[in-house]
Amino acid sequence: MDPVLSIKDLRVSFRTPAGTVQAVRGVSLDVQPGELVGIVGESGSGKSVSFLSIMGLLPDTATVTGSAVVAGTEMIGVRADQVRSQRGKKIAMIFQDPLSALNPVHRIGAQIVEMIQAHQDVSREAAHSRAVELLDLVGLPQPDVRAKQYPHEFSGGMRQRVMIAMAIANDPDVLIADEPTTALDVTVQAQILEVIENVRQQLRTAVVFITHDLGVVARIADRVEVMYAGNTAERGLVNDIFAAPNHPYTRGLLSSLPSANRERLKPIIGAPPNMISPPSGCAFRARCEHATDACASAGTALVRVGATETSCIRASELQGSRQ
Amino acid sequence: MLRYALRRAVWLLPTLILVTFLVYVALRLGTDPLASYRRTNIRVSKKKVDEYIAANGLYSGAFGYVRGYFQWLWGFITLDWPRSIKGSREVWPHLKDALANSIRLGLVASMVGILVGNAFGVLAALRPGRLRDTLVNSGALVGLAVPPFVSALLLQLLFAVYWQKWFGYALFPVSGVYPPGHQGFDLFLMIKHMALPVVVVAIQSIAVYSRYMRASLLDVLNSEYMRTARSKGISERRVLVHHALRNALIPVTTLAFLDVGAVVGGLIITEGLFEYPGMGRFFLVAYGNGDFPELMPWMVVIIGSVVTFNLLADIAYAKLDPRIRLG
Amino acid sequence: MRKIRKSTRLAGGLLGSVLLLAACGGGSDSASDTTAADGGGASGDAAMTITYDIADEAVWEDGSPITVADFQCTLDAIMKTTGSISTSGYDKITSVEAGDSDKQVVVKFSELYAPYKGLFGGLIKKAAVANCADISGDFGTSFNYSGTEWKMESWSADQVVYVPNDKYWGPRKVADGLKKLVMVPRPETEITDLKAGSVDFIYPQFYAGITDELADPNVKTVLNYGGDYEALYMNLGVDGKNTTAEGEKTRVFADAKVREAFYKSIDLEALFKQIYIPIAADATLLTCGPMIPGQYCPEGIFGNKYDQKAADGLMKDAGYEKNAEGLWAKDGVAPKIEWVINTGNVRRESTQAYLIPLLKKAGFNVVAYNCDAECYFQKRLPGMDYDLAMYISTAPPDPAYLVPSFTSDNIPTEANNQKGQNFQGWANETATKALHDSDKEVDDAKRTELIKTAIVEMDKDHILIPLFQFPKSGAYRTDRVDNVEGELNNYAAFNDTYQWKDLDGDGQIVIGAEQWPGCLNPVTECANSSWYVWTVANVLMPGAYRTTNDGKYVVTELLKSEPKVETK
Repeated sequence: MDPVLSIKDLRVSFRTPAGTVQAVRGVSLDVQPGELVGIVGESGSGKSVSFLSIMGLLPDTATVTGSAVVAGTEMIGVRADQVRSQRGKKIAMIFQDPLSALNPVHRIGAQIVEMIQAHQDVSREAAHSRAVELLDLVGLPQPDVRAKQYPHEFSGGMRQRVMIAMAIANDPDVLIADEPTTALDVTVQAQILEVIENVRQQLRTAVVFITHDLGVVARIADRVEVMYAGNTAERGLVNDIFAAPNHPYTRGLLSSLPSANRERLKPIIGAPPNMISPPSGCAFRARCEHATDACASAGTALVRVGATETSCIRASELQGSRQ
Repeated sequence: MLRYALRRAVWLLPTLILVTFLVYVALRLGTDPLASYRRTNIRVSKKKVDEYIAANGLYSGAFGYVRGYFQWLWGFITLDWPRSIKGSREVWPHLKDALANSIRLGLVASMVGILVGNAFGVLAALRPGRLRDTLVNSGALVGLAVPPFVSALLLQLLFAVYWQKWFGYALFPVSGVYPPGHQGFDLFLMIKHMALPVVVVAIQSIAVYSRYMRASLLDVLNSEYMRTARSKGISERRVLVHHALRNALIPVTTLAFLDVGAVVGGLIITEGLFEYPGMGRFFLVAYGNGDFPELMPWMVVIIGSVVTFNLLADIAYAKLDPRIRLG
Repeated sequence: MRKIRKSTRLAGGLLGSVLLLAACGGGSDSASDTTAADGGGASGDAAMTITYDIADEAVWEDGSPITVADFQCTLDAIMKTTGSISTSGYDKITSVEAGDSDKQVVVKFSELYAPYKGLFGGLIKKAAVANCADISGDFGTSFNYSGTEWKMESWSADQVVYVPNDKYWGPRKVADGLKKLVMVPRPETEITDLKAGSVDFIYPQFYAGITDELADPNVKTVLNYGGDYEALYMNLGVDGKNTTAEGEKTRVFADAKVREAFYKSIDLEALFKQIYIPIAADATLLTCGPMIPGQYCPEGIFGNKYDQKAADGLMKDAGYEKNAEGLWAKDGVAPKIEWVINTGNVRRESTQAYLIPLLKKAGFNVVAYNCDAECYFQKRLPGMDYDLAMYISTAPPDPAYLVPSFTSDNIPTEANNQKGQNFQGWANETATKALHDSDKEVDDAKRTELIKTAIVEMDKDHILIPLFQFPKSGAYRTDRVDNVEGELNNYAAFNDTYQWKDLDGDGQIVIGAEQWPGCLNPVTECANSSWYVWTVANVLMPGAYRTTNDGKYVVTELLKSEPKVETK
């Protein structure tokens, strides 16, 4: 099957007064239809920036190179209106903070109608009844009443449902969910995850789920992409990653996760590198207890080790030393 | 909304009564109308003074003020206004002229300021940090920093004094509402005479609105829902107008309403600089004469306008921003 | 610049007006009884009788003749209107009656009244007012009559428009082609207006630098030394003290020795060089007292008396000793000398800045006690809440104006119902008698001597320090008007507008007024402004006498001839 989203060597940099920030440094990724891929990493790892760049939502200060094809349409390095015509139609996005992601002065229904009418030649009335259906689909009670209300009349979880309804309004091939549950209560998180899962099931939409929360990924993702310092550190099926991580960073993430059979959390020491002048070789080596001199000249290519693909050059030697 | 407006309007009345009462007390204490009357009528007999007190409700004591206020209020409502102390003239004809002059000048200047200022603000906010933003920003700073008497002086020098020297006539007059000797209405002459004062006032309000709009719009442009709007794939124009401007206009509109409400107060400095017979001059003269019967209606007009436009600003704010719940 | 001009102007305006009143009737309210002038009365033994013969052809603007009834109405209005600002002179009139016809007016006085030429300077038309005995409600929005070459077409807060009075009978016919005389209030913009060509003539109060500001090829500025003079005045208090808003204050200047010592501690020549020479290079120190040079000015008084040693001696005689700070102190207290000027007046502020340190060095504890013009001229000065004051006055041609300001019965107190303008509290018997006598002396030479006597007393008592005769300035556009300089020095400005030439041929001449009276009543407080007299009363009201440019009274075309004055 052809991937519905195919990213090749994506690079994003920002001009800042302090220098050029290399936020994404050559990411490649394929997403299959209906697949749910979890993108995991710390803040600043380039996970959000990668997908905002594909959406064409980065500010003017960003330079984007590489390729990202969404359902047959190239999104990088093409005219702005070509990107715009796909945005919201083939690829849609929901954001981290539902409280501020909706325009406070427009009614919920109108905001969804706007999304529909941007890409479909339908009447206002038709678009509105479609909006009500969508709100029903994401599990909003009394959708016809709610459609006439304003964002401030909704709770955070409800607003995120609205965002999802809006994002899927044009039945997109890819749905980018940028930390959609981070700002929500734990109980609400679960409901939102359920809605996303439902949407995927019902509409066969591929979902890219960006998060720093491995627990969430474990619950819903098919595959996991671990990002560090603008590169993919490790990728694999969710079970493989959790069962046998090959990159020391992935292992670090996993051991910092609360778990019933572990007494203490073990945080990753140190901070992510400065991306204005990122270190050569393996970017993680400064924080890595297994780093050797060879890591300083390591490439970013992924190598299959066991069940996953990893960029760590010592992955195979370290396989045995797992604690 | 309507219910809210009605309820506020109902409150308007007690507010007006309370505020005008306070003003009544303050003005009576501050101008001492009886003293002004005695000063103007130095040989007045005790009997005449008593008559004047009774006719104008200038009783003393706390109760006397309350009683005097209601007497004044009744006279005011029934259009039986006391005559001015100096010159014993009817107050309304003069006040009406001053009011019309000030409203005309103030409204035109405000409109120019609001339209041009907001346009500049939008231009600046759309390209923050770029040349046109810098131009608008520094222009606004200069506009705010230059006091009206400086801009008035420069304009008068250029368009009147030097124009007269170079071409033998003044392009724009420096003073008055009409040329000396003119009588009756003439739109063209009126506009000509308003040109320079309008520019002087507009410079300030353009500066204020461009900065205000710029800040407001920048705030909106940096908000998350703008990213959401763009992610929908709608045109940039729609993003800016429907999402950005619509939100950025909320605080600006409120400010505009308050500004327009203050127009009737006149512009004491600018009216002076152009010998423009508006409400500012009216006040200065009345205050100089300690003329209580002239000052009270002036105050009422201003209070009424400010209170009304405050209400309108609130309603407009609520109309524009659904988060504001009126109740 | 603007601000300075304004305050200077106000100062002159407010005080000037006090004195200015004489043009229309006398300097002050010296009426003891408002009903004194009730018509009829005992006329057989009048101390003075004046007979005015009204010109046969003299008519009002509607063609009706001007008669004795109008004289009677004028007297009534001035004496009985509650807000009448000045009754002096009129209060001595016992009757106004018709003589041979209603064109002959016989006025009888209870006592001699020397400055009678100031009486009936502006007639009130009987038919124009509802009730001559109270005209305070008349003249609300228009001045509805005229007995001169002009009549009022319209009046508002923006402008007053005069047109020629076609019923006018006299020789002052309005020049051909001049159809309108317009006066507009331009207190802030008069100079700009003149340069921009929107007004043709302005009459600004003089200040340093005005000639530079007026420099323009089409503008001509004329300076003339008129009746304005500036002086320093000392407050003697009433019995040495005053009750003020801040409580009772004792007046250090109540002591004549202190006043003399103070006078002698100031080097007037140096002060003059510092303050006035930069304003007008050809200026000389004024030495006439409250008076401009002329027939009433005594020789060899006032002037620079700077003598620090003599001053020290006087202070010691007065019982003062220098304290640790070098200030004159009595019983351990160095009394404060509060010097009031109006804030914003740069000339006066510079004078303070120059003199206060010098006076402190000389031992006087002088402090600035300044406030804005309104507070200064309407509160502090009339309330006698100051020790030292500095202001400009405008003197009319007749010295009668000295009476209300320098006689002891015109010190405003509770006892005399706050009557009079002797705000210095100067009670000098010789001067008071001389001034009151001068009011009753018809012989000019004898009257001059009486006035001089009073002024010499002022010098002896050191109650004021005359400084400077202030120039009057007029400016006009040479491309618009001509023949406007004739009456610049006249106490009644714009007296000759009928013969002004309208050069640009638009048929109107525009005068930019520095102040606007704001109301039109000729006997109430409205008339308490020199600009009212210039822009309204003088333009419209016929009178017995008018002033000339060289400070004399001449009989007008209203009368057939000089009135006949008979005394007992």
